[in-house]
Amino acid sequence: MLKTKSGSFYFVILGHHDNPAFEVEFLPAGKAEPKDDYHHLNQFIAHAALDLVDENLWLSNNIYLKIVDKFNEWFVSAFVTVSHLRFIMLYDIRQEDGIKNFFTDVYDLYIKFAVNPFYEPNSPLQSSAFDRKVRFLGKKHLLS
Amino acid sequence: MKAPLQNLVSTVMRPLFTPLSAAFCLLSTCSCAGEQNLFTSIYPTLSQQLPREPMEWRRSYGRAPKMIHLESNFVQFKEELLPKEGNKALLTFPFLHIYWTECCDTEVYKATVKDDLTKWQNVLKAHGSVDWLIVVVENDAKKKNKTNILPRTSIVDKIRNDFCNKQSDRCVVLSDPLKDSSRTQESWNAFLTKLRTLLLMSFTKNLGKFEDDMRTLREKRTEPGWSFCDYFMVQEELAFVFEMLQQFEDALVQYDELDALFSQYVVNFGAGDGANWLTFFCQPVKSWNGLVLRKPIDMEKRELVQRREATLLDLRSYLFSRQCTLLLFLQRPWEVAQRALELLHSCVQELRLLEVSVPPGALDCWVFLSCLEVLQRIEGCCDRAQIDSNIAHMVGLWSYATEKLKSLGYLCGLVSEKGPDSEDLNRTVDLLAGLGAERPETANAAQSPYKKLKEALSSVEAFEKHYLDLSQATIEMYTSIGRTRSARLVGKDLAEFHMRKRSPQKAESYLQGALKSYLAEGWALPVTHTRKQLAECQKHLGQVENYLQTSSLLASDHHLTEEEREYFCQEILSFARGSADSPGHKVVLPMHSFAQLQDLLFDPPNAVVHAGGILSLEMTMCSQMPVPVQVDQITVNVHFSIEKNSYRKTAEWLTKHKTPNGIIHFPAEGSPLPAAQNSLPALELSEVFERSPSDNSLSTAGIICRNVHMLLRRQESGSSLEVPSGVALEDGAHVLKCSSVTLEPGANRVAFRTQAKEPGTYTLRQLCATVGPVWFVLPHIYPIVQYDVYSQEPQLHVEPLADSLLAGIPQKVKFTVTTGHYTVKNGDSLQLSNVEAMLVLCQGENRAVIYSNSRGTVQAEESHTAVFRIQSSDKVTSIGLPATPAYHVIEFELEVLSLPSAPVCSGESATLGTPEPPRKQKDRQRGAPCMVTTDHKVSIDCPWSIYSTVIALTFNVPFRTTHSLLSAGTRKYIQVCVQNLSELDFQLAESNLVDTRDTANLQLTPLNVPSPQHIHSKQSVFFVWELKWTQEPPPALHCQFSVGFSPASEERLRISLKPYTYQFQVESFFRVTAQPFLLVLENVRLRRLESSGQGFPKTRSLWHECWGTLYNVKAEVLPPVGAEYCRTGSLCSLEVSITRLADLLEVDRDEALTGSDEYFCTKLMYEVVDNSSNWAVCGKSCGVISMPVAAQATHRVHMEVMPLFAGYLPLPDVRLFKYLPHHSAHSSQLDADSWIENDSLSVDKHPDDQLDCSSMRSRGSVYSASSGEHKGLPMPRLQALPTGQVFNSSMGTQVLVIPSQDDHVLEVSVT
Repeated sequence: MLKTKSGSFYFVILGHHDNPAFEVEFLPAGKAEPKDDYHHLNQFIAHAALDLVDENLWLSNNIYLKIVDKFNEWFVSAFVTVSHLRFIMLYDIRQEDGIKNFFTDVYDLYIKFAVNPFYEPNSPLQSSAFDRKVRFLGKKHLLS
Repeated sequence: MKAPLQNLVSTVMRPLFTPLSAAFCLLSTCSCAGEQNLFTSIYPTLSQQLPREPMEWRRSYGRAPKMIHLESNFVQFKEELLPKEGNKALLTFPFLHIYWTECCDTEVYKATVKDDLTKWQNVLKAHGSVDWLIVVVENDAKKKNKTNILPRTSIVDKIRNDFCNKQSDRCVVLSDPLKDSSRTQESWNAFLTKLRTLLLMSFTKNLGKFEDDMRTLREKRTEPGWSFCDYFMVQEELAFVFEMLQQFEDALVQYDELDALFSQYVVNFGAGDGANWLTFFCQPVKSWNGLVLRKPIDMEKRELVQRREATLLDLRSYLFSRQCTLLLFLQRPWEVAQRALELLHSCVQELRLLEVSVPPGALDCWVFLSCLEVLQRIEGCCDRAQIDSNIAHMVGLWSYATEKLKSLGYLCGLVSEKGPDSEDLNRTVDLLAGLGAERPETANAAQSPYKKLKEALSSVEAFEKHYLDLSQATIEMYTSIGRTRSARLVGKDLAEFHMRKRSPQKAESYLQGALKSYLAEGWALPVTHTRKQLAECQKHLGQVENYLQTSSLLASDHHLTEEEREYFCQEILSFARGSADSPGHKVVLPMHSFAQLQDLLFDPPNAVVHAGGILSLEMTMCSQMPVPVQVDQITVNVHFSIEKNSYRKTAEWLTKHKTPNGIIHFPAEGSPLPAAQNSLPALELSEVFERSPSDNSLSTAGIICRNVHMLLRRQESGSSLEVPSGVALEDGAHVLKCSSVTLEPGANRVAFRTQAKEPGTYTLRQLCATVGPVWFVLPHIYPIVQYDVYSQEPQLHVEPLADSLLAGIPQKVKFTVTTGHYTVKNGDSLQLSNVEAMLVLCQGENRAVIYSNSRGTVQAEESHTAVFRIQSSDKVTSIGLPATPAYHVIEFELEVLSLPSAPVCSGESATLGTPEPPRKQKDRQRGAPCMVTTDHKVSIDCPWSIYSTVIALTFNVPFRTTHSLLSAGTRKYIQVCVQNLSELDFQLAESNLVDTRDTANLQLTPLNVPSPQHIHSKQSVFFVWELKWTQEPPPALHCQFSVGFSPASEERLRISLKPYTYQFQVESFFRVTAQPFLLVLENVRLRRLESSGQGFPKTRSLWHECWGTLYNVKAEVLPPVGAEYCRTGSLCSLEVSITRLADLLEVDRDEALTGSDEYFCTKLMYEVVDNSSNWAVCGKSCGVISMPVAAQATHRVHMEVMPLFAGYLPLPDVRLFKYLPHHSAHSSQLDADSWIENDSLSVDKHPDDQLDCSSMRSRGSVYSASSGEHKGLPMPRLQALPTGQVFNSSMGTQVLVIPSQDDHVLEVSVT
């Protein structure tokens, strides 16, 4: 199960019904798109990590939960917003600070997005602007 | 050098978790010099006494002081033991050097002891050691033996003098140590205190120096030659010391610092900042025998580190084993588990970062072994209950071990069906070789990680057993602590394993469980992936229905590639083709994955259709399949219900209550991402207050959740989201069908047509698409879609086209035939039974408009016209209806003419005959008079019914006619007033008045304009005829007025209209009446009738109208004598002359008539009234005169009047009444019926006259006859003279009044 890719990130925003509302993958520059097979693995891991996120969020006063789970070479960090949305990041190279900053910035972005009266909470985020900005933040905090 | 370490080891091998005392133990080393025998004798007591009392240990760097017990090792002093320059060791040399002597003899001291001491001191000085103590043991026994001994103090003083300059405390005396006396005890205590203080001082000093050295060394880490391993050894020494002092926390900190330092280096290495020494750790991994946690110190690995030969795994393993040991001392086994998991992950990461070459599977082995080792170590030191309550900490390791064993199994070919091949076996052998030999400490144990791994890799069966055990255990643990998602993931792996092992029946439940969880939370990719596995599983299990269902879901899954989707679609289609031959067997699948209903369109749009009508229905189905699918048929199951509410069936109601455009949209079910559906209900919280019953103060406040049972329910066990395959098929009689449809991917339009049968409501229930034996069923169509079929009875409506019908002119009437379920055939006709007074005018061709019943939404072209015939016979008018299908409406118009029947002359005209101004006003106030109406009832026979329909048509007579008799002297005129009440204008022509009795000597001369006259709406036209008679006129004149009329607007009428006629009669007074008494009686009887509410009109015919003039009243105002004109304010005389024009007539025979055979008199009352207040009547304004009944008999009355205004003033009115004196017979009658008498006058007089009388009274009139105040008294009565009997010849004359001369203001009134 050991995969050779490294330095990649998978980010997912989870709604209140534990449903993925937004997901994005960051790959280091120069890395080819991974094979399609791996996309679902990210989701599998993120899904299983939800258990630990839900356990850990009661143990901490912080909204950034740091590493909550590990799966093979993957680390899972989480961030729980005030409204109990959960951000989950899967990554294989420790980068605590970058991830924390990324989470914080995405949270800001999300809040701006969520005040849009046409956005129904927990529904999949399909805004291309949001996607673009999250990708930018990813480049800024994670891949640099 | 090993000695202290072994000591240390023996210390730490104490049983774990003995409760620690408040103080700690320092085990230090002292070297002993001097007299060995002496020490040997003292040692037992010393070693026993030393740790007894704790000492406070003050520490540097602000660390909290601690109480510690001191313990010491005593070794023979040797020079080699002293630390050499640059020695970093801390515990390997003695801290304190003690010289023991028993000498009490100065000689001996001088001879040997002093030299020995000097030598000892020099050695110490040479090594820079300042921690020393000289102990002089005194012995009383010895003292006694030697008499020449010097005073005791001398030896001690000598020693102090010789060696302890300024440090006199470095020399202590121990008196009689082996005795049991108080002195001995004191001496011991002082000695021990000193020893402890010095030991601790020395230790603290050494420790501080060591820490400083260590830090210095650490700061040099950037220097090229720095070695982590060397530094490791130094810091570990410190850790050992802390551990020895039982300062495990501090010891652990040392290892954690080492751990962090190393990790940081690895991370930096990954970032390109490599340190030379790290390359030592980058050697390829050759051994992966896992962690060793059973020994407190893994000396083997420690030596490797010391020799700088350790690999990364060795270093990590050793470091962790030490951390583990310390954590267990600290009773934190769960942290061990947690750290172990972290360690295993980070080791894997570090190896990757350092790009260490690792044989495949080696790390898996290492991780697996390590996991099990940690778990066994923890289990070894905890009881069951502790473990059970801390599963959360352990389960990660279990899971990791499971994961690694699985990947090992896959790697070594133990999962495949065929078993491992040679390559796999080779790999297995290599992996096992890397494990090395089993360690001696577990070699004899029945179970060890090593044995387990070896066994698991030995055979397919063993692997399966171990893997299943591990997986099951992990799943159970995860489930028990509520981490169901993680359990699902392990379960899914297990399912995959089972699938590989060709036991799909075992895999299915795991896959279903996982799928349910992913579906519930809307994880699309895991759903797809799990479904794919489930499909394979179901295929193997031969679950046709489930497999097809899953296939249909996958075929519509956009997360799969096009090829995969097509594959699954083909699976369904090939199944459908393959089993087409076996009829009867059908597979029912839910439709939503196959196709989705988007919208539905009815035609007619209101979804209301009459019985037998055609209803078409077009639905848009969005096919989810990747390829076009040929569907055998699409059926819609329809539920039929008879609406009980009868009004709902009417077409009108249905039209109103349907969607206007007939399109029903269905919400898109399930977006591509299956959204979470089991949203929990909101918390229902409420406050709870409990008050103490005594003083009502609040004792408890709280919040309770009222729907806990809903919220805390396990989510899994909630409603299953996957539609159960067993969809109930409805088998209704009513079905809409559409055969052979090809559903292209995407939207398709499917049209259904049906002929409506029974009336009622039809609800679309199920939608079903059939592909061979595969039925895709949408079990419920929601929102509810209905169409209604209604049946209608044929109906005929006849209504006027205008607001009201006018009699006498042709009027249009609209016939509306709603055919309903009846089909009008050629030859069907409406039979109208003729009414005499109403004609149906049939002319030319008649056109009927026929249109479909469902009006309102139908386009205009659906209506068309048809010609129909009307045949009239005497009694029946037959309207031949055009052939019309059912549920259509035939509309046509017919002209009818109501013949103007001569309205019965009502007596109304008689009263209105006197054109008195106030009365007219009254009429106007009463509002516009209503038109007289005539009802015609037409009975119509309809072809669809055996019963006749009776229709009433109401016609309004447009005119109202009144007549009046006018007099001019003795000349009589008849005036007829025609009032147009309608909204139309008419032309009147050929007015004619005839005497119907055709009295011979009567002539009616018209005085009218001969040309046609226009009569506008709401206006009147008057006609006047002079009545001339030559002989005595008949008692009554019967007249008929007729006038031709036609609507003024209409250019030309097709038919000639009948003239308007009006019949009336004018009765003369020549009739011979019966006896007066009789008349009165008659009158009374009449009044009784009146009071009982009937017979009033009769009065008119009974009360005779007299048209012959009897009296001529002439009034004249004369100016005062001598004046030429009347002046205002001056009295003028009013001369009234009443002249009788005829002799005794029949009309005169009443109570007023008095006299005898030839000479008759009648009593009249005159009255002068001036309503316009022009005149003031002075004196009597009325009076009774006795009028001789003879022609030309004249009575003159003279009165004085005063004009009040100047100008031409009309003369005051003079009224004449018949004065009927009271009669005794009459009066007695009245007594009997007093109610009559009360208003006796009002019967005869108009109410207005009463008003006049009262005004007269106010002017001082004597006239008081009308008042009812003399009740019971006999009263004369007044009777108005009928119209025509009195002619006022001075009516209309005016007299000129000039203003009085002394008036300053000239008032002129012109009338």
